[in-house]
Amino acid sequence: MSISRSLPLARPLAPRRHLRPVSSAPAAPKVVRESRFTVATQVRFRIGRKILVGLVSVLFANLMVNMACNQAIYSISTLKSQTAELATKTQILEQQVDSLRSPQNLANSARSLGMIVNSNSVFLKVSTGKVLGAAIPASVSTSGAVSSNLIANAAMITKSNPTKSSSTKLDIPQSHKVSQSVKTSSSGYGEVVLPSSGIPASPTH
Amino acid sequence: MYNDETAKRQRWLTAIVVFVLVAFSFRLFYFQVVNAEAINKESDASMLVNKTVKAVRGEILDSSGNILASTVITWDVNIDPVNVGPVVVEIDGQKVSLTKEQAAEKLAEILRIPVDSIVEKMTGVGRYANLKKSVSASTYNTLRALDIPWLYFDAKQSRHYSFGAVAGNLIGFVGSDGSALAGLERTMNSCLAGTDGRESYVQGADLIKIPSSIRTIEPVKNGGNVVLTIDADLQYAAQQEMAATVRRLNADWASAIVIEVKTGRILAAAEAPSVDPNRPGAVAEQNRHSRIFQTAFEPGSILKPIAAATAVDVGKATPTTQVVAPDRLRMPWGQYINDSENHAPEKLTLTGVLKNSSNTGLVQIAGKVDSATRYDYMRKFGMGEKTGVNFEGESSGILTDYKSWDKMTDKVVMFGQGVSLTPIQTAMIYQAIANKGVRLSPVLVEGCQENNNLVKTTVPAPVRVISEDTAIQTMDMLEKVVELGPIGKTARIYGYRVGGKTGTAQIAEGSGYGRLHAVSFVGFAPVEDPQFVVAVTAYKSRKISNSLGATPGFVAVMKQVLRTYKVPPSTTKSKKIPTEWK
Repeated sequence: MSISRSLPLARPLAPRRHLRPVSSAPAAPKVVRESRFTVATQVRFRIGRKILVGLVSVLFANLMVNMACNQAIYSISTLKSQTAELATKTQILEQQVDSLRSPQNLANSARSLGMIVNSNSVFLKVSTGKVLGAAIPASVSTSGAVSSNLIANAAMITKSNPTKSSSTKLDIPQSHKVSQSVKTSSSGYGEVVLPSSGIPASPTH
Repeated sequence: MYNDETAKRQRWLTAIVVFVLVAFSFRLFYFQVVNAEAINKESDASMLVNKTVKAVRGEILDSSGNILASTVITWDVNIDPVNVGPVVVEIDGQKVSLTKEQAAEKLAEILRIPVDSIVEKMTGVGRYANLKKSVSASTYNTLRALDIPWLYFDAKQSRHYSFGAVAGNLIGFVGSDGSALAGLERTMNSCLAGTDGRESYVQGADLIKIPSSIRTIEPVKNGGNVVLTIDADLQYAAQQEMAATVRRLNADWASAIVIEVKTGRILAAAEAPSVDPNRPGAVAEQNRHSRIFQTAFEPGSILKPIAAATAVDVGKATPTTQVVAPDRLRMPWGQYINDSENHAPEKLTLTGVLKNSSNTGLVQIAGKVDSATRYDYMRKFGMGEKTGVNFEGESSGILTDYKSWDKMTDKVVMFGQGVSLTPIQTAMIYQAIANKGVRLSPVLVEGCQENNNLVKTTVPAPVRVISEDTAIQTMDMLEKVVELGPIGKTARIYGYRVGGKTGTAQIAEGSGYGRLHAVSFVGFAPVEDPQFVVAVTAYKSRKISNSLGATPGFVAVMKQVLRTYKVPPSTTKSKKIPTEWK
C-alpha cells in the first residue's frame, strides 16, 4: 500500500502514459510485479549512478593529483636548476674569498703597502708588569720588508689591489691614545714613502 | 512490454560491458603477469635510470681549520661538431651574430687555448669533441651566458687547493680521474675517499627525474676530513724563506722543519722548490714529493751531538772533558781524520769540540765509548728506522749494524758520515735532546674527522733516549755553539737563548764524495725551556759551502715561530762552561 502511494513520487515516468482511474482496491498482482521490478531497477540505477559519480570523482581527483604532481616535479626541477646555479655562484665567491685570504695574496698586498715585519716582539707580563724584550723598531735594514711572494698558487683567481682601496683615517680620540710606556730607540726612518700615491703609509713599524 | 524491452536492453548492455571487462581483464592479466617481465625490462630500459652517486672527497685542513684541499665542481667543455655553425650570442647585454670562426675566437679567448685547436675540432664529423677539461665555475658561467647551442658541459668533481703550493709537497695531488697520486692525498685516502652510493629513479621523456621514483640502492658515504698539525701561515713563511734560500745559494733544494718539542707535532715542513697541487705538472718530477720524509743523505756534523750525548750519558765524558784536537789525526791503522780546515792543535773541552765542530776532538772523546753502545744510542735516537709519521714512501735512512763497520766507519759515524738520515729524522734527534731526553714520534696528521668526530692518529710510544741530566748538559753545550761558535753565532736571535749545531756534509757521488755540500743548521729555543726545534738544510749549495748558508734561514724561521706562538724572550743567561783549557 505504502509502496503504491509512493510510486508517483519515486518514478514519475513509467505510469504516466497509462493514466487511468485507479480504484482504491488493492493493486492487481501484475501491477505489484511491475512495481517491484521498477523499484529494483531504480535502486540499481541509483547505486549505479553513485558508483559512476564516485568513479568519475576518483578519476577527476586522480587527474588533479597527477597534474599537481607533474607541476611539482617541474617546480622541483626548476628549483634544482636554481640551486645548481646558486651553488655555482657560491663556489665562485668562495674561490674569490680563498684567493684573497691566501698567504700569497696577503704577502703581495703587505709588500705593496710597504709593510715591514716586526723583528722583536715585546711582551708585558701582566702579573708583574714587567716588560720582556726590547722594543726595537723594525726597519728595512734590520728585518727587511715583506718579501714578494715566491710560492705558486694557480688557484689564486682574484688578487687584492690595495692601491685602489680608499684610505681610511683612524679617528682616535685623544683620550684613547695610549702613552708610550715602552722605551724605543729612534729608528732613523721617517714615514714609509711608497712609489704609488694614495696609499695610507703607516708611520708605525 | 516496455519494461521487458528495457530489461532486455540492459541485460545486453551488461553482457557487453562484462565481456569487454573480461577481455580487458585477460589482456591486463597478460600484461601484468604473463608478459610482465619483458614489459618491465623494456620500460626500465627506457625510463629507469641507475646512477652512481659519487661520494664527496673530504677536505684537508691545517691546525687552524684553514682548508688546504677541498672538492669543487668543475666542467669539461665540449662541442657537438656536426651542429657547429654561426651563432647569435649575448655579449654585454647585446645580441651579436658570430660566424663559426668568430665563435671559435671568442671561445679561445675565454678558455685561453689556441684558436686553431678549436677550429680543428669544429670541423669534425662526430657528436663530441672536448675543448678543455676542468674549467672553473667562473669560466663555466661565462661560457654558459653565451648560450651557444652546440656547446655543452659535463660537470664533475675536482680537487681545489686554495693555498696553492703551501704544504703542496705534503698534501700531494690527485689525477684527472680523481685518484690519489701522491702525498697525504694518497696516504690518507681511506679517510678522504668515502664510498660511492647507488640510486635508481624513473626519468621522464624530457629527462626530468620523477621524485617519487627515487630509490636508494646503496647510500653514499662522503669522505672524512684530514686535520693536519701544520700551521698554514707558518708553513708559508718557512716556504718563502726556503725559496729565498734556494735562490741565494743556487742550491738544488732547501727544507725547513718546525717541531713542537713537547708534543712532536710538525708545525711546518717546508720545501723549495715546492709543488702546486693545482698544477703538479708545472714542476719537475723530482720536486713533486716530500724530501723531508723521503730523501736520506749523510747528515755530517749535525750528528755530533749524538756522539757527545752518548759519551756523557754513559759517563765517559762531561761537557768539560779535555782533549787536544789537531787538524789532522792519524789513526793507528794509518788513515787520517781531518777537520774541515787547517789549524794548530787546539786545547778544547767537549763543549769546545762541538763549538768548533772538531772531528778530531770528537773522535778522541766519543771514541772512548764502545761501538755497540754508540750503535744502540743511535738506534734509540731513531736512526735507521722510520719515524712513525706514516708518510708514504718514508725513508728509514741507513744505519748498518756496528758489526759491519770497518775501522774507519766506526770513527766517521760519530760525525755523520757512513750513515744517512732524512731531514725529519735529524729534526727528531734534536727534539729528543730538547725534550729532556725523550724522543717522540713526529705527528703530521692530527686525525681523521668524520661527522665532527676527530679520530686521533695513533702514535708510537715515547722513547727515553738519554737521561734528563744528560739532555740538559747537551743543550748547554749546544747553546755555546750558538753563543760562541764561529758559524753558530750567526744563528743568534736577539733576546732568546738558542741552542743548535751546524752541519756541512759531503754528498756521496759514485764511490766517493762530490764537490758540493749539504749545509744544515738545527736548533731549538728558548734553551731554558725549549718549545720548538727548527731544522734547515740546503742541498748542493753552490754559493756557500758551509752552514753560513743555512743559519739565515734558521733565524728567519725560528723568529717567525717565536713570534707566531708568542714565546716571551729569555730571562735567564747561559751557563758558564769552558770551551778551551790551558
